[in-house]
This record gives sequence, structure tokens and C-alpha cells, in this order.
Amino acid sequence: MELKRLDDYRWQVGPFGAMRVPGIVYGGAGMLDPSGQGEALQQVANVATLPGIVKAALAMPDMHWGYGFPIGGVAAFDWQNGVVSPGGVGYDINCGVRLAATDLHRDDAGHRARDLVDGLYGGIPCGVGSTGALKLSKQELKKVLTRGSRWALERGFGREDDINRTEDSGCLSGADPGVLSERAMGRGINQLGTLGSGNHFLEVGVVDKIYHEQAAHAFGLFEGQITVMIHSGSRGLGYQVCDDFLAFMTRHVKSLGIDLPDRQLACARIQSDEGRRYLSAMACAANYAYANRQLMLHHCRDIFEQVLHISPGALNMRLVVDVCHNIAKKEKHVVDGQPRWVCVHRKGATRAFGPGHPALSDDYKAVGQPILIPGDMGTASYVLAGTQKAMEETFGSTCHGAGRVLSRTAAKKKSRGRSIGRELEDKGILVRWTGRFTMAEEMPEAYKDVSEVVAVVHGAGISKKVARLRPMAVVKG
Amino acid sequence: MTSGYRLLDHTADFGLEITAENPAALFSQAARALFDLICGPLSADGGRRHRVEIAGTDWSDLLVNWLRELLYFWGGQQQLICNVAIDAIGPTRLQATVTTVDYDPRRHEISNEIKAVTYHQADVVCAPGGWLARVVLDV
Repeated sequence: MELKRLDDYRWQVGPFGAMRVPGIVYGGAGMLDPSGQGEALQQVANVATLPGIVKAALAMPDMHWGYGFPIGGVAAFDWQNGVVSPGGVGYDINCGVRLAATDLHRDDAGHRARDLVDGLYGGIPCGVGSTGALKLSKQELKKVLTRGSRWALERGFGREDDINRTEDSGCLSGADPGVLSERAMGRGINQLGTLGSGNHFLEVGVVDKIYHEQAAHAFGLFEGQITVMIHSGSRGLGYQVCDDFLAFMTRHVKSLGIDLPDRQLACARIQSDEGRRYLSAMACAANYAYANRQLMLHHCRDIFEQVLHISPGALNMRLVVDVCHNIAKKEKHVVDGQPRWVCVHRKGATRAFGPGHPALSDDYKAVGQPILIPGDMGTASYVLAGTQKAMEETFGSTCHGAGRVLSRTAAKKKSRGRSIGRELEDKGILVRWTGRFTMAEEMPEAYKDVSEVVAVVHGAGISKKVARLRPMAVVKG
Repeated sequence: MTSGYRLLDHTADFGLEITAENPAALFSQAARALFDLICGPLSADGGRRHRVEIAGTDWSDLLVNWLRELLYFWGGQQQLICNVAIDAIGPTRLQATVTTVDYDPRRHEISNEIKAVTYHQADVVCAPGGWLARVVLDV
């Protein structure tokens, strides 16, 4: 596919054929050169054909081949005339990351990493189909779906300041459990507070470098500080919501006369009963995910206090931020010089609102929202801050991680005869996992270099580097 | 055409290519491929039988809906498929008998968590010498 280089960090795709807008891809050299990613580029071009898309179909530097939308894709649709696509959100609705800071220094707790990782592995259910200690009644589940993190707080699973540091204050509006299928409800009953499997993880890390003192101070981060990062989503309930609505919309979209290049892009007009029902169901799943990560954070606090025999005050495990990276949201952005309400789809992309944005909590208004970019389990993760340039170029969005570079099959082949767990332990990173192939599929070489991905978004100005975290102990599903 | 399946290279997920002599064998192979990926072959001894009816708008839609229904046995009910028998099949409708066993972590090792069956590049074609299907599974 022909690409036109726009500047050091951006390439343009089209428009050609049925594309209504061009595609804009962020990238760099080597593994981040988009010209070698034909399938993902085709997906960018496909997204650009959807009705009501404005400005451009975007892809972040962690872009890779997904289904329907590319992973790392961002697209905004006019709120009045555009569409919403469940495939543009993904199966794991509100898959996201949260970071908690502590008052502990590496020198205080680094030597207890083995006890901590064993405590976390034993205390937080993880792995395929894992179920939690909580079994909700249907009535209680409905409260989770409509109240999100607030539900967890009301049940004693959190602190008040957890709420305003969570995107959307941990609750998307418009959630109506009445639109969920029995299957979706059934899958949500017993998975709250569980990590799941695949690339989901729980990581104890250390802040090893500060790039931006003012922002780091605002986020409460300092060098040598022990942190906890949690990556998980809406579990089986979210998958079922996406599955149900995709099956419905593949039929519905034919009645709209929309010719799709890929059935996975099935969609509905935002201003239709079908579109509103999906957004309502998506909000339920998003709220489940917020409550899920909130519960796990609460359990992390307990486990740290028990293992280290310290008080909640001495630990002071506080949420820095919780961000989602699989979502569709109503947001106001400037398009062609005019403010306009759009439905921003971020599939494997993170919100990156700049300084002063009204959606940010007061603590972060001066520096922009904190953004979490987890890398692979052997390298590093980054904390970034949102920028005004992201508001202008990417609908306030940036990358979401390192992005896969090896298929699962290729990763297994590459790991043959090696002990990935031992290799990581030799680097000082303790890992506990449940899945038979988790370590092979999630080995560091399976991912792009997160530092290079972050260098692109920093260089392009759509977010700025604040801090780097090094993993000490990791729990994988 | 030989009846079987192979994994296609896909960066984040699993792609499957399935071949068979006729649609019934094709859909049966697709089911086998899905549960081979999840847990490998299982004995049907003591299994429960379920009658399943699936509709689709065409062959590809029918295949995706068939695999979605089978995956729900696992994702939604913690049951593993040990056998399927296609009782009747046409381009928009399928009837089958599915045999399942309850998941028991002491006896069953789960190899891959398949989250969903996608429509991305889903295709069923009558090729020279047999039938061919492609489908991408979300992992």
C-alpha cells in the first residue's frame, strides 16, 4: 500500500477507493515503520470508509493487525450522522490499566519482592476463566453495571480519592442492564475482581527515571518509589456484550445499505435505537471493568499490608490514574475549525487529554492527564502526560502499549528450549503465571520496544514522557 | 481435498484455515480445530448431549455463529466440547448434536483462552475438490 510521509512521525494512507477521509499513521524507523504492516494499513483504510467519520482514520505507533479496526486505531464519528461500531471498541470493553503509587522506596520493600509476588498470585484470582471470591446476585450485578467504581467504594473496596483519579470517575453514564442478554449477565456474576489471562497482568514496579519533574510531582511519583500496575478489563461479560451486538449488527447494517469492506466493522447509526442500545450495553461493560480493577486494587492494598506488616497509612497506596484503552465515547473536539460532538473509538489507544481539559481532576489540570503505557514484562512501562497537540491531531489520543510484533505461534517457536521465567528472574524480575503458554506468548521479544513506541508519541508531541517504571514482580494469567 | 485444519499467521490472534470434502465435514472440522486450540481432544465418555440449531445469512455467517455457539459452552458454561455430529446443514441453517463434559481443572489443561470468534476475513468457499473456510479467533 502506498504511503506518503508527512513528517518525521506521520504517514498518510489514501484517500482512495471508498475512503471518506485519509488514514494517518504514527510511526518511526525499524519495527515501527508502518510500510511493513500491510494488513494493519488495510484496516486503517477500511475504517476510513465508515459513514460519518471525520478528519482521518488514525493509528498509533503500537499499531498491529487486529480484526475490523487495527489495534492502536482511533476514529471519530459525527455524533449526529455517524456510526458506532462494536468492533471498533473490541471484545474486552474497557480493557484498561491502573497505576497505584505508594510511600515505599525500593530500599524498604525491594527485598520482599518474592513474598509480595507470591501474596498477589495467591490472593488475586487469575488465569483462564478465573472466578472471584465474590458471587453477585443479579440485583447486585445490576448495581455494578450502573455504578462502576462507586459501587466498589460503597461496599468498602476503596478510597474516595480512587474515584476522581479514574477516567469518567469510574462510571460511564447511560448504562442500562436491561439491554444485556442473559448470557452476558450470567458471565458477569462470578468474575468480578479477577485478572483474566493473556496479556493481562499485575505488576509491582519501581520508578527508575523521571523525565518531567512538574508532572511527576503532580502525579505523586518519585525515583525509587514502589508502584503497582493492574491491566485487566470487563472479562466474559464484556466479550459477550461485544459478541451479541456484533452478531446483531452484521444483519442490521445490511438494512442501512452500508457496504462494509469487513463484516467485523458492523455498525449502527449513533442516533438510532440500535446504536443507543449498544452504547448503553457498552457502558455497562465499561462500568464492570472499572469496578473489577477497583476491587483488585483494594486487594493489592490488603496484600501489601499483610505481607509487609505495615499500616495503610505507612503504605499509602493511592491511585495515580485508571485509563481505558478499548472504548467509544462522546467527546467534543475541534474539527475543521469548529467544535463538534463526536463518538471517539479507541481500540488499543489511550485518551491523552491536555492541560486544562474540563474532564481532568483538579490535581492534573496544570500538566495534562496521566497516561499509562505498559511494556512487556521484561522491559519497562511509561507514565506520560496528555498534550494540547493530541487534542488538535488525534482527538486527544495516544498509544496504549508496546504492540505485538510476533504472532503467538512465532513466539512459542522462539521460546522453545528456553525458560523465560528463569531468564526474567536472572534480570531481577520475578514472575508467577498460570497459563500453559503464557510465558512463551508473552515473552519480551513478542513485543515492539516500548521505549521506541513512546519516543514516537513524545517526539510527535501527542503526549510527553513523565516517568519510566521497571518491573520487579509480575503476575500473569 | 483432505479434511483438516491449519493455523494461519496472525500477529495478535489465531487464524484458522479449515478444509473438508463437504460442508458437514467442514463445520465438524472447524469445531474440532476450536477445541483442539482450547484444550486438545477429549473423550466423550460420560458426556452430555445437546441439540443445537444455528442460523446464518450465508455460509460464512453460519460458520461464525456455529463457532460462537460452541465457544459459549466453554466461556459461558465452563463445559468443554468432546464431540460434534452435524445432523443437517445448508447455507443458512445447521442442526447438530454436541457432546460436552464439565471442565475439571484437575483433569483438563487449558492451552489457550479463545475470547471470541470474529467476522474478520471469515469466509467459506466451495473450492475445486472440496470446501475451504477461514476464520480469525480473538485471543
